[in-house]
Amino acid sequence: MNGLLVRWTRRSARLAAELALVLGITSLLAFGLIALAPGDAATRLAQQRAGHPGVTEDQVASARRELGMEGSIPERYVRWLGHAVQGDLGKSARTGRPVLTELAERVPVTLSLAGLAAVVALPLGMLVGALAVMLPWRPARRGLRLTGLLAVSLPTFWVSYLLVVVLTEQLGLLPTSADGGLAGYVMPVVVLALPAVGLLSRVVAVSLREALAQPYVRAAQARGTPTVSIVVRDALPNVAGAVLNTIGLIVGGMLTGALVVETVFAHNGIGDYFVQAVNFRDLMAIQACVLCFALAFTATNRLADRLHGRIDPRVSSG
Amino acid sequence: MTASGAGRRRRTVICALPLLGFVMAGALAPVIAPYDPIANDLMASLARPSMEHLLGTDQLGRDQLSRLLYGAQASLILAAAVLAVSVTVGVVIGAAGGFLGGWPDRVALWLMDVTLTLPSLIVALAILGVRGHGSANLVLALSLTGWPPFARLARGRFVSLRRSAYFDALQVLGASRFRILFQHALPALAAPVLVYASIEIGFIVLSLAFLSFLGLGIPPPEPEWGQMLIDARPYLDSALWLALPPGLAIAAVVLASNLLAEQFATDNLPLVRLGMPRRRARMNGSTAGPYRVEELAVAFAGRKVVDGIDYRVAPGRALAIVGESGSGKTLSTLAPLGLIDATARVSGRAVLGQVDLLGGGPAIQEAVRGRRVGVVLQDARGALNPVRTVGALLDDAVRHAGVVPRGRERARSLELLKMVGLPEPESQVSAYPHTLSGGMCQRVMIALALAGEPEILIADEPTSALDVTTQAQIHALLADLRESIGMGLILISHDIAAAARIADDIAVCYAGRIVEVGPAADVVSRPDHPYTRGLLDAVPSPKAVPGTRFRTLPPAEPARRKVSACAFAPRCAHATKRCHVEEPPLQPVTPGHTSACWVRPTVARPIGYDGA
Amino acid sequence: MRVACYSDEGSSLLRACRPARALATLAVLAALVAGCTASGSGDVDRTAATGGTLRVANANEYGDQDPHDYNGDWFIAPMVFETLVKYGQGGRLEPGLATSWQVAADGLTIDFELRTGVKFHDDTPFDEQAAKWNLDRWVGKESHSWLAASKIIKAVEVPGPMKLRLRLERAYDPLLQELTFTRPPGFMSPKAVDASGKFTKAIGTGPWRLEQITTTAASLVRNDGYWGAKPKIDRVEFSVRKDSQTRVSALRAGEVDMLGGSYLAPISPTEAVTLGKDERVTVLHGDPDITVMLGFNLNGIAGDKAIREAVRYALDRETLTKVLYAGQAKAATTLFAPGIPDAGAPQSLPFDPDQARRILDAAGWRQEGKGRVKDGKQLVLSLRIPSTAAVGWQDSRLSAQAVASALGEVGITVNIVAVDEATFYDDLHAGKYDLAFMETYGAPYDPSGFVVGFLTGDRKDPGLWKTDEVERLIDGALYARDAATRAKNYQDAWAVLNREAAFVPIAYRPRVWAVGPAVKGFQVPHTEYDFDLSTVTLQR
Repeated sequence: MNGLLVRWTRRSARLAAELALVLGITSLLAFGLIALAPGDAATRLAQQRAGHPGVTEDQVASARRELGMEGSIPERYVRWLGHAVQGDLGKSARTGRPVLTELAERVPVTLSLAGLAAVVALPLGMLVGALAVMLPWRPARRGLRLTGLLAVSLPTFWVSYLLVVVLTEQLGLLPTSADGGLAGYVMPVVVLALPAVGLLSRVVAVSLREALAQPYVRAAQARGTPTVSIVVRDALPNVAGAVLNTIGLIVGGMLTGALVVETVFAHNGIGDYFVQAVNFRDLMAIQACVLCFALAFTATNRLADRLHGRIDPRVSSG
Repeated sequence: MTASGAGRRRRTVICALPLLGFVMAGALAPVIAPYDPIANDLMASLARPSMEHLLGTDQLGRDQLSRLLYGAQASLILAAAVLAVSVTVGVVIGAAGGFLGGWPDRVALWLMDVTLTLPSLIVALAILGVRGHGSANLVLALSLTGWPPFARLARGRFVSLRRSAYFDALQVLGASRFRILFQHALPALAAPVLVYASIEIGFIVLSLAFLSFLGLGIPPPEPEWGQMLIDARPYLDSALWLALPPGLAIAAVVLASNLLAEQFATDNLPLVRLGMPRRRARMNGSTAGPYRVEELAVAFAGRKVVDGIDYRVAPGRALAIVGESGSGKTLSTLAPLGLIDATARVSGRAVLGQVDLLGGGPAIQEAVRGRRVGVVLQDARGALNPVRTVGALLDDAVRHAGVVPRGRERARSLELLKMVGLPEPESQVSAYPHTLSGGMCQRVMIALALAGEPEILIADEPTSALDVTTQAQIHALLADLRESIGMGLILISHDIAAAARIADDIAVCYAGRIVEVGPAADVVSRPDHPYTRGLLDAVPSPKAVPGTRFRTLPPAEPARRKVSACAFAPRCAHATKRCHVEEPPLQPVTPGHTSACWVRPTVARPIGYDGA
Repeated sequence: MRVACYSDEGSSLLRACRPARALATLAVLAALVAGCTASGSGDVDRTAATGGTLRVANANEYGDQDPHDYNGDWFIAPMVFETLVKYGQGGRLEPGLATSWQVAADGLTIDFELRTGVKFHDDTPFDEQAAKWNLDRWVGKESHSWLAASKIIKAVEVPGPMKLRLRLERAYDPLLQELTFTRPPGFMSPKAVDASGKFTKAIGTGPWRLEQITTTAASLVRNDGYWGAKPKIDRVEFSVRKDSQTRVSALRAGEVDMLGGSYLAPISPTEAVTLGKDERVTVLHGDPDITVMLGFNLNGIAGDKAIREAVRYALDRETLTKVLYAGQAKAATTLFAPGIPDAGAPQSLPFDPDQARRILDAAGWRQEGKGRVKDGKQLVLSLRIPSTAAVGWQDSRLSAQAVASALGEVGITVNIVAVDEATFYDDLHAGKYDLAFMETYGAPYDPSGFVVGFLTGDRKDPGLWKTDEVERLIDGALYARDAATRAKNYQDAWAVLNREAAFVPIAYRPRVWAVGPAVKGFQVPHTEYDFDLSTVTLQR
């Protein structure tokens, strides 16, 4: 037990170190890139105040002072980092509110959308993929395969437009946004889940076919192993491995999908916040978003690795 | 053992058609587009589709068909540029890693891994946000995450080249490393790169549409499909002609790309059909009597690969089926059990006890497998699920066989491991297959096959991947087991000499038929069929005079088999006219020893070291 | 489209109400507000039940609601915070928290009589001290220097109870108009800040009190203690829907009751047409009081007058307006729409591409292939647009393509440069463009707001047209002590702009609103800054 505790502690420490490294590097990169990019939050703020693009140097300088944007880029980064490690992510240049408050409003929106989409997409994608291989009727298999591929071939925003026009404007069945309660989640979740279902179903179908083509499946068949046992014990680990390997892709897809559905369906989440922050060069907000994204990615990828290691001993030993 | 190549090719072509259309439309847009895609005609704003404007016009009176065609051009040019950059970068990184090995390879791999985990569109968004818009930055943004697949292809290619004997040989011959690189590795990369590039086109088209949604796409007034969709949005319920064609165009190109991708991913996968979950059929046939296979034929897509094979194994006896690879020896033993590709058509009879395995459908075959017929497949390591321990595999096999009461599986598993002579079975039960040696894997496989206490054990090339000592051990084990358990053994081998040491009878298989069968001693000492003779000649004999050239058979032709002819005739030194027009039946040589040959060279004249 | 009416009764009320002489005393009753509006959603149903919740879509997020800063929402602020004077129909000044005001003969002091009995939402009384505290909070601060009032007010004094006096650096008549803006002249409770003076909560005197607010949703409830006409409905709920088409869908589906304005939830011309066809929705058009135009950067190639003139002749503004604005705007010929004070007389601006070609030929720009060349230099104008999706009336992508195509006809190559929003505003500021779309502000800012921002100043941005000659005329108008001088100076300035072909007016566009079936009695607000719901009732 003691050994287990030591191993656990060491693992956690390694994970924490890795997270810190990833967050440090991404925040540094993002900070540098945005600071060097054309466009400047201080000018924007002064322009927003004045109501027109022509502002004096004094007005810009005053806005720059207020936003704490004085000094060289390294200086500013160090200052930001110093505050960030104390949990202070600064104030948004665009809204004047603390970034943490805004994140607290927005992250749950995106998480609930992505979470619901994942809850729908995971079982559905796996089911469609499995049926596309296992169904005894060939036209049905082909139909499922095409459906899965089509789901990853359509521009998300176009699907969203069509859904809104048909389901909301014409039929009046579903509300456009979160104000409509749970019903307001139906369309965005469907749009988010659609490519994930498509991707998963194809990954599952191909990996299942690969798994079934493995000599050990034929060997199991030759031993008279029941089908259920073959699927669960022999094919599933391979399929699960393939699915875990696509987790990163799916999370990335959900994030890009969130940029679309949050706009079209007026769910004001972090994807939309990020786009606005970029458009305002709202550095504090951008940094916070980048940290969130990096955290989400690293965490899901590590979790997937860990699970994969559990399922397939070759991964952990190799 | 895969589905027909022709159908696959046809499907591939169908998949590729939209892509081809896309490339043609893009390349020929200036020639075939009826109008200038950016010229306004404000008087013709929002015209419905007509003969003049086949797809109607947009708000500024621009011809939608022309914009669609030029949109293909824009996407095509961008895709070409992205692919050019991605392929170049990918191949350079992959080739450098693969060719140099060591730390450059590790760095290359790390770069690929890291890049692959990045969300490509978010990266593109960041690049465009920072570097500004415009086509050059679009190319940069999309290439930045697009190169790893090409790097992977190149690396694989170069790693295998570096490790090949061929490379050593070329170097010995004095070729410079770089010449080898350019002359041998790069050309071979062209085909897979082209395939992967066609797959990437879909992704690029879709990404471009997404970036247009964020206002980061191709700058106006150049038409782009995604932007056309966005412009058409306010007209979704009043001017559908604006919104549908670009959407369908994107869907078609991307779908084609994806279909193609999957076509290649599953290219060489056999179709395995698992039985529907069902209650196991009970089979209470008498165990007495031999296992008889009669007039067995197996055909793939109308082509017969096993054509009228008969054999029988009595309890306690051993039959060896020998032949070159592709002779049909494996198919003829696995087909009766339903263990071959689901697209095969199997006919004939395979009677075990009183039951015909081929007459009762899959349920009967499932009931027999593992319980009354045990199978040891080729490649023992591959036949063991790498993610399960030896003990777990055995316990399952024992449980499914239902020969011991529940809870006693592990004890039986240990017994079986002892029976097959695995050292220290208690510690090996928790081992994973990848930690076992080849011989140990084979023993585990045999233990698994014995779990159901079968009447017949089929062993397919049980020793082919093993060293000579282990080969001998496994052969001895099989011989022991046959005697101690009293089961029938069917041994499949390409090594006639080794087969003769274990088997009572030998059947020689050629091109899906049995060409000679008889008691092992007879067949080996007095081979009748020229093919059998050839197989025996290929065996190095300890008695051979040093310096003797082994006689080997002429290479097999990928011959389309004539319906009525001796299949071996094209390779046979003794073939006569008759051999090419009429198929010889099995005729007795001595009692119990038959052979299918018109020439009967054993009778006519001895063949062998005849100074040819 | 049930109701769509333009008001052509040129609302030069500001000028009419402004006395010819220096002394101006105005005491207009608040009751005037109703009745004299140009457009409304039909008959007000007097029997309608009061109460209910009005749901309004909003395009922009809500920042801090500090009225003395600029992060808050344009619509929530004027519902919560009030000003001393208010901007009425056609620019007429109406009493707000001040019941009357008096400008001294020399124009250097303004005395306000404050309204008695007014309380902030936290029951703090509104008095001279609270008023002074508010003005002191922003007057003279650097971040408000864009506003002339901030620089011109020298001191805020309290001559007696419920009295307030502003001392000015120099006479500046538009000052009263500036004081009708909500930000920063809005008044909030002195208790709405913490010990360090930092804003904590939006507490004003207006007809609505802010109940709850996040960046993306806000709710307001009726202030039952309001001194003026109390709203009839109980609550207003705002929710942010950034996508224009989604807002339209939400209105059509009955999820929200109201859209519109230039800033609240802009409706594009195409969307207005779509909504007009939907019988559930009523579309309302205000005065077309905002001018859309093309501005030049004189520091670049567009410094050549021939090019500017050619561009003027090459654009068919009638057809452009029809196509770009779906027939809902009017082709423009002047800087300010006819309803704006001192807008001036219409100009003659014919569409004549041949004349454009002749001018360019005469100026030495030879046609070569599709474009033109002079001394080896290509005639290429770079047109900067923001690459983000269209906002309301301004679909820059579409307009840019139309302009590029039209100018291409006379040999002027237009290079459309789409950049993201941050870069776009930076580029405008830095003068990195030859051509850019510009808009006037409309009421209540114009004309003074726009001319100060775009025709004067020593900033590095090119503005619309900044020359000493025009700046002198504009200053003459801004600081004029009588209407005739002001008018003369403005007209002279317009004449210079016209002579120099300083810009290309394209269209006067209206502010468009749309309401759902439940909303009765809504009138298009006079300004973008005034969201008066006192006449609105709901009937569900």
